Amino acid sequence: MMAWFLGTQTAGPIFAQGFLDDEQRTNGAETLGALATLHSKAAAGSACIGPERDKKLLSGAILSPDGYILTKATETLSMKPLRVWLSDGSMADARLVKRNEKLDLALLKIERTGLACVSWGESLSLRPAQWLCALGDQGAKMRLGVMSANRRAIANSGAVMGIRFARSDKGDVGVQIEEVATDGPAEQAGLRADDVLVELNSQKVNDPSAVKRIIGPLHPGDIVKVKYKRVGKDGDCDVKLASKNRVMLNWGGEDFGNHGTSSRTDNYSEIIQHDLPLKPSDMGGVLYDVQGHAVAINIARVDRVTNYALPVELFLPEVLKWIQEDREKKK
Amino acid sequence: MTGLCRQPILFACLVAVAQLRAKESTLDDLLTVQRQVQSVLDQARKAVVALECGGGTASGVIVSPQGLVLTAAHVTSFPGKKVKVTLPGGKTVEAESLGLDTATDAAMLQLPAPAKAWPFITINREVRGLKLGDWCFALGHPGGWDAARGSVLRVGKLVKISANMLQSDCVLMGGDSGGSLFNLAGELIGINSQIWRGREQNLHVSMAPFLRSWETMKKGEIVSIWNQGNGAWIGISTQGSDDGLVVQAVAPDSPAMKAGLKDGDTIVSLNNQKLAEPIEFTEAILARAAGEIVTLKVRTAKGERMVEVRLAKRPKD
Repeated sequence: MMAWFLGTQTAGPIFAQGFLDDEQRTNGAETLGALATLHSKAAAGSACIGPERDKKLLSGAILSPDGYILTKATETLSMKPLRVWLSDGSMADARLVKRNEKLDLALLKIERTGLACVSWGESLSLRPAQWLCALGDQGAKMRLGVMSANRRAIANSGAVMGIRFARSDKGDVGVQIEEVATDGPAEQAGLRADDVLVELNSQKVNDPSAVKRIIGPLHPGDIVKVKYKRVGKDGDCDVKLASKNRVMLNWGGEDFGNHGTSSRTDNYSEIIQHDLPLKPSDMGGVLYDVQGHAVAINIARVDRVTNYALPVELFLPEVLKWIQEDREKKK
Repeated sequence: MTGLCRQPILFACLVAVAQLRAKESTLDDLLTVQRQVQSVLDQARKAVVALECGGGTASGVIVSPQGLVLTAAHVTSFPGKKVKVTLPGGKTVEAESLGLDTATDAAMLQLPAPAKAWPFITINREVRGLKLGDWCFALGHPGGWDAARGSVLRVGKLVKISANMLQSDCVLMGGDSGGSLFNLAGELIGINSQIWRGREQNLHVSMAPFLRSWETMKKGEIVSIWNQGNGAWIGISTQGSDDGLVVQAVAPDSPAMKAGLKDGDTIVSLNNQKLAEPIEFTEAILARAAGEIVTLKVRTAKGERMVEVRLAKRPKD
């Protein structure tokens, strides 16, 4: 127990403070002790996905002993090479079997046998306040939280770079940036205020509406190749688009980051919302109830208090079809 | 620190800290908590409303059948303001802000007369009965009203208990301000007030300031506690580091500036007490009276020195 007793030097009253031990907090070791058995079981059926050992960008669920693995689609768009890191520390190159934009899921295949895999339950009986848990920190920890709001669909808000443009006089070359969203796609790619965008995906841009025409049809997770002018130095960079809602609501960094949010956070036909302390790299992993039933796939880290997960009923029948089709193709 | 609002002022007083026995929770313990929350959740959600006031979105909670609503003072700012209230079913009504206590961030609103009776929740009056580690749950409208989503639940534990303030690990964000913190019996124990950067730094106004000034606030008056000698101001913000608190910004004409503190200085201790987190520093200052002199041990590139700072009143703006 950490306690601070800050006595004043004058005759003032004593002010005492005491904090609850980290271990005893909701996601502390003592509370999570209740989930120890589930932790080892969950770790065996999970994998990390990323191009390098120290760059694991997603989690995944092992669906079959012969290596079909399910993960979030958006972050795989720009991932090269596509690799799977198993809980025993080994690595396997993955083949992309299917990427489904609507569900935001990607099915991968690695050449392995005898893998432990996830056993699925049902999610229809879940109610708000039901405990839920998932692996965090690349499988190192269990994370605990609750179903926190009504089950629902999340509408599409479109994709943006997170840039506000200055008014420009006609005839100018390029479009000047007035402001970039804190921690938004443009800022993460290195763009900043006063830079002048000259080309997007090899098309010249001279006013904000030209930028809108190019970005409009694109999706969160898509890469836009940007050429820009900056005083002293011109450059180019890749901007990974993000959902408009997530960028606009967090324009000034109001969310405190708390380890960041996913690029795509909307356009889902049905989600379960929960408050687990997860990171974007935990997306694609399995959401369990505390009895160990797999009930959903974590699909979007939205903000400090919000994650979305796709209920098992929404994707599993379709994903099993993809596996079936792939097996038949191989025969 | 980034506030969702102004900083709460803490009355200096003694809070008994019980030594908690280390005990691993079991699955049954967790499921008991789940059952308790679920048994009172529907009732609690019916009383939690979304507010729109001065361009911002926030939350509130109905505490009487006549439609008295508790919220945070930084939400309403003044008595007599019109506030748009969205009820859990999506219907909107106009409420009027009543009195408030800006020092502790406590405020009230009045809904229009009910057709029959407003759904409401009960206040926990045993403020001293709360213990560190007690399970609790928060409700609010983070990011504003969302009809399909409804109010958003967070379940967590009490991490710190002060005279006028509770800290929990129920994670809050913008829009949650004025929302509610409940015990497992479904009684109101706190009003969401502000957050620090850390996920577990979520602050709620306790029921103490409300209970103390209930009638004054209900009458639409502004509660003042400045004359009680607390709420001193130094005029810096700090960030935690391994060796102490690093000064991030010094306010012009503040006590800190007059004492020569600069950006990048590290505060090692305050009156010989080491401080681990910015929140502890802020509260140690707020617990003192304007005019009091504190001694800071400050480390700069040139070495360590002791700096005496005479605290002042926070300026009006």
